[in-house]
Amino acid sequence: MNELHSGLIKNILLGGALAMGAWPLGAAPTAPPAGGDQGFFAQLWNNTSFSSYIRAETGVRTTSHQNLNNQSTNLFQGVTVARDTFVPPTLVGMPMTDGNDWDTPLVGFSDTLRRGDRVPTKSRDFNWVALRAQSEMEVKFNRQWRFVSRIRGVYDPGIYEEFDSASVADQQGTGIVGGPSELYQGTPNYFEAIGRDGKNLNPLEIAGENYMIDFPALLVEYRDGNLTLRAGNQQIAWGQAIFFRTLDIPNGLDLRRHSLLDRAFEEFSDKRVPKLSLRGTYQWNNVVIDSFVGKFQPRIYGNPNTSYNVIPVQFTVYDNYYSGGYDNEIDGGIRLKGDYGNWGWQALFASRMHPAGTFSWARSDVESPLTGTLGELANTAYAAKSPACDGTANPTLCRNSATPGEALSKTPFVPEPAGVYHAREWFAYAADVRLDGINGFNQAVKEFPDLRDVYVTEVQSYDELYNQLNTLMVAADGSYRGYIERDYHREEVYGLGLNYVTSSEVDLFNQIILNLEVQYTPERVFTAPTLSSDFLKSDEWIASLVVEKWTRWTAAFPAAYLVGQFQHRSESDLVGRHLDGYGATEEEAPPPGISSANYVVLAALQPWPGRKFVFEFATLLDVKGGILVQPLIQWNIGSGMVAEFFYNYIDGDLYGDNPNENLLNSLDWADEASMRFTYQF
Amino acid sequence: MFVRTLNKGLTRRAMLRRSGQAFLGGGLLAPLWSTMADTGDVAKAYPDELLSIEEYTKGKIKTGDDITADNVEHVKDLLEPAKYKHVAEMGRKLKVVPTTTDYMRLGPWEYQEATLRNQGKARFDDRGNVVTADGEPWIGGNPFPNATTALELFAGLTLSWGRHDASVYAVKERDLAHAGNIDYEYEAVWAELAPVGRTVIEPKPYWPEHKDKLRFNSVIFTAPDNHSGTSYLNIWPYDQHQFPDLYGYLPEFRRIRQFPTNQRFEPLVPGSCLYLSDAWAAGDPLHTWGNYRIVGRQPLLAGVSQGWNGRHPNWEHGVHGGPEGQSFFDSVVELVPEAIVAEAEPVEYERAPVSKKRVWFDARNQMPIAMVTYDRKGEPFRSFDGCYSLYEDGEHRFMDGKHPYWSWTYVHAYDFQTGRITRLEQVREIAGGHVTRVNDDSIYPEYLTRTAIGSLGQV
Repeated sequence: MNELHSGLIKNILLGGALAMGAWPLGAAPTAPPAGGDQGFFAQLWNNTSFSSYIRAETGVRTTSHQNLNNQSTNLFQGVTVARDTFVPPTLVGMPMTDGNDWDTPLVGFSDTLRRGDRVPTKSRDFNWVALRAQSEMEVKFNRQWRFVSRIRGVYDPGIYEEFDSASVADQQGTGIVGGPSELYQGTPNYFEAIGRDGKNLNPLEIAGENYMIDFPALLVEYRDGNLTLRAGNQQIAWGQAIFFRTLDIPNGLDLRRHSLLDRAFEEFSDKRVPKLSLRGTYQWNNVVIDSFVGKFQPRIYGNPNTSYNVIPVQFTVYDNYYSGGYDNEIDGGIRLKGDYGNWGWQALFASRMHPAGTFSWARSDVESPLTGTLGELANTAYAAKSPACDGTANPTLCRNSATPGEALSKTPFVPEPAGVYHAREWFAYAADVRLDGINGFNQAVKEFPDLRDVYVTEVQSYDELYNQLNTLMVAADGSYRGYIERDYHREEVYGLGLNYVTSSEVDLFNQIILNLEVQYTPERVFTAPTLSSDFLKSDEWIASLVVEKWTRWTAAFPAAYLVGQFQHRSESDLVGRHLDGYGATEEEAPPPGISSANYVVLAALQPWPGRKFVFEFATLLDVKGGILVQPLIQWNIGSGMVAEFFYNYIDGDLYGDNPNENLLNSLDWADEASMRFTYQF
Repeated sequence: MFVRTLNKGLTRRAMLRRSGQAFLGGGLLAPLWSTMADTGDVAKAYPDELLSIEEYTKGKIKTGDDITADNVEHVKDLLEPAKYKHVAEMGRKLKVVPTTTDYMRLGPWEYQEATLRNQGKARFDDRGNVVTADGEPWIGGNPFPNATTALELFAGLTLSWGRHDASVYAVKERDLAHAGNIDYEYEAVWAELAPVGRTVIEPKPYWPEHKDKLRFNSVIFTAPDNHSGTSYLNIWPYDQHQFPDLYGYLPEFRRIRQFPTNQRFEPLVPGSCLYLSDAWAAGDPLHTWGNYRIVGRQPLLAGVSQGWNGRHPNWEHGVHGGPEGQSFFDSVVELVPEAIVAEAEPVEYERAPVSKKRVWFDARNQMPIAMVTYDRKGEPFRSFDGCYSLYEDGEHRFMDGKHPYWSWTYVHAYDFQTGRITRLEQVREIAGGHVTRVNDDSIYPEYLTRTAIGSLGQV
């Protein structure tokens, strides 16, 4: 490192660490001595090292497709949709039929709606523009003890065309009123990850709309012989498979920033959510024993209307991490890894809270009135009902609340703008996020009977729901937003792995590294496609086979790294969505589900002579018909500078009849060219 | 004396004549090995003109002089091609120091003693591994101090690279472009430990539970940031037909992964001219190379003493030469009276970029003092020259037990075809508090286990 830079950084960062109380001895530093006898602090100073980099990152959209999960780029922004209205059966006490309810037209209230007329359509050229700085400080006290701090700062100037909730504030009476204001009011919040009470999910993170600062590592390490102990905020990577996290279970993933669309060969080094934990590693002959116990930290999703948000913004999410007491949960696990020359094995057990969590319908506690002509009519009809009896049992004559708005506040459905505007949107998005549009609606009615109080009924057919949804949306004079809550569940994870390195006289078959990893989790809890609070529970098997080889094509080029991987999952997709929710379309619900998810990764890395350039190529194929292809060129410029250029090509409809049967259809919009420029000092 | 007045031409002819006599050991006036073993001094084995640059050049260059482009033609036949090119065309200077004649100053004390103690006890077994008379792994020191074949030379070198039982070298690497600018800078730790043939660390000569292994070796990069924590651990079987097990910790993966071990002709980091295969001119298992042969003997100017810069608090060397005045370390050379020139070819590496290597061994201690590799067309590919030294300079001293530390001090790797240069120097300490140390049994748990490289990797 440049001596001047080194000294400057030492002054700034060590001073900063001291100011933050990070100085492990709680004492003030002395200035580095010019020479002569070295005191304790001077010696400590000499044993302190720094490494840092700054990086500019961009992702540029290359097609007309944009994130369908966001307001301004919704699938229906430019689509005019007819919303026909029907007489609610329970409004007039019509006898319930077998799937033919909601078929009596309510004349005079039907309309057509183009979502873009309600929610401004905006277009982003850049998906991602950010400046990142990262600095690591290591203080080595002696051979046994050291302190490591890595601080990461990311700034996103938000130069995009963004949705602003103010643009819909005058609609449906109240505008958007529910959810944490940091996430649902104003312009997108790129970085704050908060629970429903507004508290940071990550305890060692400071974040605002456009910046975040956190500590991927902040720990004290003790080493003695074959024993290593680390205590503090840290990431732990387990397993041998790369890209597939078959046994890599200690940390959840952070899907903010560039989400999973960064350089594939970096794997998840920038994505694992660090956790406060104690990790112990001990090598006993050929076996490494690796264990941890730590504070549960959940997966972090991108916030509403940020570039890579994966939760449709028609939902308002309450994260119960704090309110549910999950922040007090402890994860723990142990992994044994034995290596015996050309073969090895591993076994693990962990008891953890699954970091992905589950989502279910939630009572919103947000009161917003029905407006518009039909809404006013509904208000009038509701007011005419008797408050003296049970409106859920007899919705025709009785009511439980003062207004429909109050009744709806006891349910997950709130008449607010920028929600779901019509039945087509409901079914299309349910299929896209692998939910059951019909039974999900029925589940909400079952769990929140106040919906019956406002004439909502369970349905038995697609058409019934289609008509009912359009009627409800017209009665809201716009849209409904859906409220869901996120909870977490404990699970016991078992894992086994075998690895073998081949030896052959034939070069093609020589030194091939084979890894087989299997994870078994009994009674894993999944989000039900109905968003029921009675979550899906099933035993899940995940198996991965990894085949790696380094091979020289010519004498002039260094060896290329080639890897092929296959993963089979019995219950969920790569991001944890249950397979029962797969296969619906806008026109067909409920989803038929698929029996298993299967993925293939083919990747290669080819350095140029001298490694000045490295070409990488990674593909992820969902065998049901989706593909992600990422070619990348890394240019090691020298003098501390590295530039990377890569392209993400995603086709969620490569083959097959139904794109909603493959994972990558959900990311089909994300074709983009990315560039990163790093300067290390 | 007659033998002391041999002229330069006669000496060269004598050397050339001896190069075809593979059964002979070193020495011109007397057998080198027995002379050293008897007297502890090499002086009686060579004529004066092979012990003094002044005698050799008839006064044109004297001890203490710098060899530069102005006078390099006087010693052109004492330089291997890369070093000659560096001096003649690239501004390198070589300061001449006296020839070392004391045998005990040509290696670690205990290793030199073990070489004397164990002479004559080594043989090759049926698989070509070096064993004792009763077939056990080697017991320490150079097994073939009076080597008469190239295989014996390389076998001794492969058995013990640094000639210590355990070493940690704190290393600074600078990689220079053809234009003379430094475009890559690295700091790294190189650790090696011998579980057999041990002369200092108990248990010796073997660590019983690892008696089937030859070496633990790791390289760990500590800077810059994107390479910090990049670590490789090689565990060498004693059987020299087998490739080492290779485990790697890459910062991207945050975990230890197994790597194939036959890809040894790769720069470990961008910009570097060094491959794993290049380590100590014998970086691969002995029998993965073949066609070992001695092709010549000659006196050579090489760095084997006084290369330690104890005046610098971190032992760093001054630099000079090249377009930017920083291509070469300030270098010292002495007249090595007899270098044995040996060649070998990679036979177990398909599509290796190297067709052969030529290594100049110092006949006195059989350490490599220069190496040139050739590409598959037979053109010079890369060269390596460095300097060994006792770590004492009269004023400063770094100890290895009771004796001054002996080790390498700096290395130049030069790519003939691209003009790139990699400079390595052994320093006292690098970032992260990693310090050079030797024969310390904590080196194993700290640097040479899977747990260790995991711990040293980026957290």
